[in-house]
Amino acid sequence: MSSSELFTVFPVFLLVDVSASMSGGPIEAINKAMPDLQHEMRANPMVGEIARVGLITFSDEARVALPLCDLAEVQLPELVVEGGTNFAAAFRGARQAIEAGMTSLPKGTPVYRPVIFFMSDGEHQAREDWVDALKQLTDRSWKFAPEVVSFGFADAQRESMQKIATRFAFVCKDSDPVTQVREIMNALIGSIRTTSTSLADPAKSQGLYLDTPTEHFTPLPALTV
Amino acid sequence: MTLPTQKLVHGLHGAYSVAGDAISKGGVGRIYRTTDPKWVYKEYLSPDKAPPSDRLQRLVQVGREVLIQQGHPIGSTPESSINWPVDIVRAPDGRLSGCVLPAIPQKYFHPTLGGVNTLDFLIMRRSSPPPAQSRLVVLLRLAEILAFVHAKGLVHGDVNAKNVAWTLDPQPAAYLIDCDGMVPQDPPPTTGVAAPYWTDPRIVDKVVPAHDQYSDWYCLALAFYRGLLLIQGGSLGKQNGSWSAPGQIPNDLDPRVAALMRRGLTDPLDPSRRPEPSEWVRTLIEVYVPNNQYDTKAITSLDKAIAAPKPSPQFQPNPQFHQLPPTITPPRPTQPVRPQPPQQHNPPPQPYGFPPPGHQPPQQPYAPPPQLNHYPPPPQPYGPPPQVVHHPPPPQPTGSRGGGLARWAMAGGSRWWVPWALMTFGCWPVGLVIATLVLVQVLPMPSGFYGRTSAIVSSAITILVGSIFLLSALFS
Repeated sequence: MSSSELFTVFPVFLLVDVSASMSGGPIEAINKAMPDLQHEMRANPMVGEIARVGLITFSDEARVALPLCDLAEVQLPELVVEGGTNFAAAFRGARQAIEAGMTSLPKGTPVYRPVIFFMSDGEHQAREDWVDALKQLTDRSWKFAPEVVSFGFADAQRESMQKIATRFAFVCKDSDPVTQVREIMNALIGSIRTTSTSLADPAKSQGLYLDTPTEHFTPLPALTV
Repeated sequence: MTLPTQKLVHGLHGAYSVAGDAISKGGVGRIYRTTDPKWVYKEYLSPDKAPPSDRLQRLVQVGREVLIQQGHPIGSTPESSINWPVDIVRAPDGRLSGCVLPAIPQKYFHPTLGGVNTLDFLIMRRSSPPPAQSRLVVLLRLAEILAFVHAKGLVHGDVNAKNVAWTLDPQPAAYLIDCDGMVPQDPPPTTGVAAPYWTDPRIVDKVVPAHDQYSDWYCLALAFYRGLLLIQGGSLGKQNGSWSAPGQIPNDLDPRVAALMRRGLTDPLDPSRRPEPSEWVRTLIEVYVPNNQYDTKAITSLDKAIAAPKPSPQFQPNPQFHQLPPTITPPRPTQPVRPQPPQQHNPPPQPYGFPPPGHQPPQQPYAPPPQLNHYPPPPQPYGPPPQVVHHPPPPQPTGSRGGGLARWAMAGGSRWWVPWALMTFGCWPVGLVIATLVLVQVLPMPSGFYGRTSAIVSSAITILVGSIFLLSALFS
């Protein structure tokens, strides 16, 4: 078998806020959207072949709910809300999950730079500073440094979302959090579908596709931390 | 943008009632259902996304002849296995705004996942593809379809897994979609689209500006390479500046088939060696269906990369395609109706108004179209969607419809017979009175009412029994 004929894998990590404020509709909306994402992997075999998805949750600590995997073949976890909101823990957990996920791919697998879709409905609450953890996550000297797309909704602050994103930052406009989460997940599924089959490196300009409905999102320029 | 719930669009050959939201969205246009389940409407995103009007009109001519004048059921022949446009819709300013296409028949949809059963589900290991014999026949059908396209002097230009639907039911078949953008082979196309992992390397290296017929042949070779062998991946990219040759052709693959794959995919900047579709058909039948019998051993060996899936259902060969034996393993020589030996497909017809293609196909005009357009009917006029019609009950005789007791008795059933029996034997005076009233109401009614006779007879019996009880009570 020639490894040169393998499709280039597109690693995607969902970094999802499961703090107490996500209880009720928002967390349910995420739990409902995950099967849709899984269906996309099954109904579109080429997307399933190329995309590998990991799911990391964070509140006071980060947890790997789903290590980087072929989503079509796994049993989906059900997310539950936990405690506060700690972005630093989220970024540390994301870095560990990316390192573990990328090194778990079969040797010789061609792979694009990973992309993190960060979702939060609030602001960092812990005493520690989160900027250092973010810098370590996105440090380009690290070979798996991801692109980060941030989605803020409900009480999320736009400046934080801009700092966190390396590529795209979005804050949701006025609407209920359930609708916002649903739209985020739809945009995310569309992004994975299109980027996976576009032959373009998501790390390059125009390589990462995102079609966010403007009636629900305000796109923001990313800020350099 | 979403069309209103229902909208009437006027084509050159009829009007179509477009209903609901888009069922499919692409880079060129959106597809909508019409109230006639046979057709869908494709609305181009903008006039510049639409194909040139004269080209589309020629495709419509072919589509109408194949599907309407000649009435071929979809999928029954190579030419009817193409999603031809059958009408053109223009905006008020005269520019092309859309076209009408046949709806993809349900048999080409995935049985559980809902969407179109595209070639991805045939050629990718992860999709539980069918066994090699079924894959072989579907891919042969695709080659025959492309042979027809090219014989018409046309280029599909975007042959990829998403644009080929397939089915095994009732027989293995392929269906080429996204065909309204087909262009003539000559002059070579200068614009077009290409799908990731299905792009002619000559496009990538800017040798040609757009996919031509040789690109279709490259994609067909890619389909055979991926689909017959179920290789891992299938991305033939560049390594150190030169294009990769197919690296997963097994050593024990028949050398004639291996040679076709190598000719189709190696040195991809030189299209002259690429096998044309008819060569694939000829060679694969020669290798895998010699003497009209599947070579089970050779075919099964194609499945060695994966655990062989379950055999596909039997199918009956279609006279318009190459005759192939049923796809059961092993073939049963004692089968009472033996398929005809393989024979050459009828020479493809002449191009319809297109310049002669570079590869001159055998030319023979279509047989004259039948006088009766029996399938499908012309798309005009389009009525409302089929309604469920409740047929009225059979007409009843005119005249007196009888009183309430009469109708109760004539209705019969347990609602009449149970009380009748109870009253007759348990409470005969009441039964006697009611039966008398029923008889009085029923007798004047004209004969012909359903249940009248049984009501008269049962009432008479009740009166008789009641009278016996009455007499015995009087004389006891």
